[in-house]
Amino acid sequence: MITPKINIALAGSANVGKSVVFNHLTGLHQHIGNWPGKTVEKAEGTLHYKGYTIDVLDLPGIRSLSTYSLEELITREYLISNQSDFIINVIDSTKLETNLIFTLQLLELEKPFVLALNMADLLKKNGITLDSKKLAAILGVPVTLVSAIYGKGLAESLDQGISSLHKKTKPRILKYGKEVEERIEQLEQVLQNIPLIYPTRFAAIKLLEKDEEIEKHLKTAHPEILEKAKILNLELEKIHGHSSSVVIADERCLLAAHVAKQVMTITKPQKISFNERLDHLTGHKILGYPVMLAVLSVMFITVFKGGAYASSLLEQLLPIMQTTFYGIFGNTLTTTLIFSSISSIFALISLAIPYIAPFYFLLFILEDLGYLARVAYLMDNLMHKVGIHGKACLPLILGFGCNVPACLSCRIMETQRERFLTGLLTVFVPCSAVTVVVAGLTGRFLGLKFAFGLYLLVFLIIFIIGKIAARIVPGEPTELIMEMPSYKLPNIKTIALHTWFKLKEFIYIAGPVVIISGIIIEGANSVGLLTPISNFLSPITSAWLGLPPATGILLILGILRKELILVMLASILGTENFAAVLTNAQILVLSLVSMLYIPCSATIAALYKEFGWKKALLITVLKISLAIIVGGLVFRAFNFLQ
Amino acid sequence: MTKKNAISLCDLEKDQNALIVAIIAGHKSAKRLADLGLTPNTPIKILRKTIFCGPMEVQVRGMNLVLGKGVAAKVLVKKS
Repeated sequence: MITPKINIALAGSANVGKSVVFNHLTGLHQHIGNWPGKTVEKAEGTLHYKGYTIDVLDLPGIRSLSTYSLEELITREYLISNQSDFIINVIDSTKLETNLIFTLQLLELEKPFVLALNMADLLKKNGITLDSKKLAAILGVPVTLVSAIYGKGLAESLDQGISSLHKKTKPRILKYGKEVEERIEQLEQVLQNIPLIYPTRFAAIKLLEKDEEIEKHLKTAHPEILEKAKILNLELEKIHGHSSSVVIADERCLLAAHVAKQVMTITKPQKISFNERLDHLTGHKILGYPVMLAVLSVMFITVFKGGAYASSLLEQLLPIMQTTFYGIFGNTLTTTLIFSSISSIFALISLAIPYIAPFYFLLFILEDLGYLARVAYLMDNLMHKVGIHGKACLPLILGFGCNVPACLSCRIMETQRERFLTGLLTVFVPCSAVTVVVAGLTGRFLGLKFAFGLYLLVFLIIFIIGKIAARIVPGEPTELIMEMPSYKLPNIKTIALHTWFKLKEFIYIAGPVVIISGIIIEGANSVGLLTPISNFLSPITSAWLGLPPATGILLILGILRKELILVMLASILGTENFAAVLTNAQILVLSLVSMLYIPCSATIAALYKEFGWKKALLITVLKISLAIIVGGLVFRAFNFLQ
Repeated sequence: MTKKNAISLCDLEKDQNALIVAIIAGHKSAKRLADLGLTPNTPIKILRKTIFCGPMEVQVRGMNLVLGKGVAAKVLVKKS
């Protein structure tokens, strides 16, 4: 039997619990990808409900239907395309007034939707009473009270949406002030017979808001309408003394406040909340920083200590697998290549499970808790020194775990420029594999002092690159404008799902590249190509960087996985006591070059996915050149000082 | 309201209340702030600031917002 199909979309701002609603509805039946041709995440899922197959789309979290960001444009185009049968507008009921601003814009789109007042369980605690029936009557749409973390009210929201499908009721039109309405009407009249993808009233309002998309639509065919709009805009500006786009936004705010006032009463004065008290510390202008350092250190130490233990357990499996494999299939070129892909997959898993999964999990806990927003707030000043804003902290922190998810998370930045700048800096952050190399070489043989020195040097390089890139890359820097979420208890189910999907994404992107490059390198090794290549590189590796010629092989293998540099060094040199065969300068330079040179193959794949091949290539070349220049200089400086 | 006696949001101290007078920014930034509810005549309160007049956390229409230094400088206010 074919079940009737319904498409629904979840729309709303960030921090309203939209993803909790999404996860509750779809569970494991979801697919996270990108919007075609865009680096904006698209989450879709399916559920079966009362005989319907419902496809749910989680739209990007936005505050307005302007076209300020890619997310807003995508959402608007999707909503207008009629692909969804109805929309569920999820809002934070404890912040009704500001959330209604978005809802009012949805009304203007004239699409059927259900208003889900989420976090209804927190209303009582905040001393707020809400009359949802009255709100439904005012807006002309079904309104439901929802507590997504407990799964309450979601079924009702679906029921209301489904039953509205048959009623074909349109949301009510709420009127603005007189002088604005007069001008909307005038524009509606001239727009009436013009084919537009938007409702006439919506288009008229957007023209008063100087919306670039609508202007673009009308520019060639109907320049007279734009002229008309210009005159009306000037009139509004004369009356109010500021831009007509601000006038409309202001009218919307007033309307939202007016609606909120009618349905909401605050019964008890808000006393200083736990949230406020916590923020006195975590947002404190001085104490906030040590707290942040402590929180992040605990996270890193947990991940690295736990990860090292777990991966050491996993590593014991590999030799056993190797002997069994060659025992069964014999040792030929084909089996060597096959086993190289097995060990690539194994290496990927022993990175993914012990390090990346816990890292994501803890990071998502911090995010869900609301703490990452505090980190962005505290770090904004510093980030501005390298041309990006506070939110870029998240990718940079992630980079210490693994550069692949870090590159992918650059999507949280608003503009293409910010995304690229953040991505560029992110790949310079020493990941966990690089940390293993530095600890095993410099840390072990030269002492922690030198290892820290190397880190400081890399941070300095990141700083300088950021400074230069911010000047070179065209475009205006974006300022930090972000809602500060209240602290709340993290929802473990959502976090676990989130971690799982991110892990899957990591495997999908890194897996094929790591396997293929593994086969190529292993193949080159088997036919004896690595030594000639290494000799070819020796003017750089030995003459300029002062390393033993065999390190050329290491650096090629390191493209696959950075920790191979350390592992293979032992097998090439035939000893684990590197100090006996390498000079101090060589140990230091090899560590530094490992930190700086080429991003690993999986990271290059992630860069390609996010920024295209040109930028991926540019970053790769930049990293290699920097490694060669800085490595050579450090080698000479170190020898000179000794 | 005139812009004459207005000061920048950056000049306010923690816990001070003010009224937004104008936003002196390009079309896009002004619109983005207006969409968030930062429009003329709206009350605004400084919740906290970081050192070096970095980003600040403000409360507008019951919502807590973080504004970077550059944005905050563009918001003109009048103390209330």
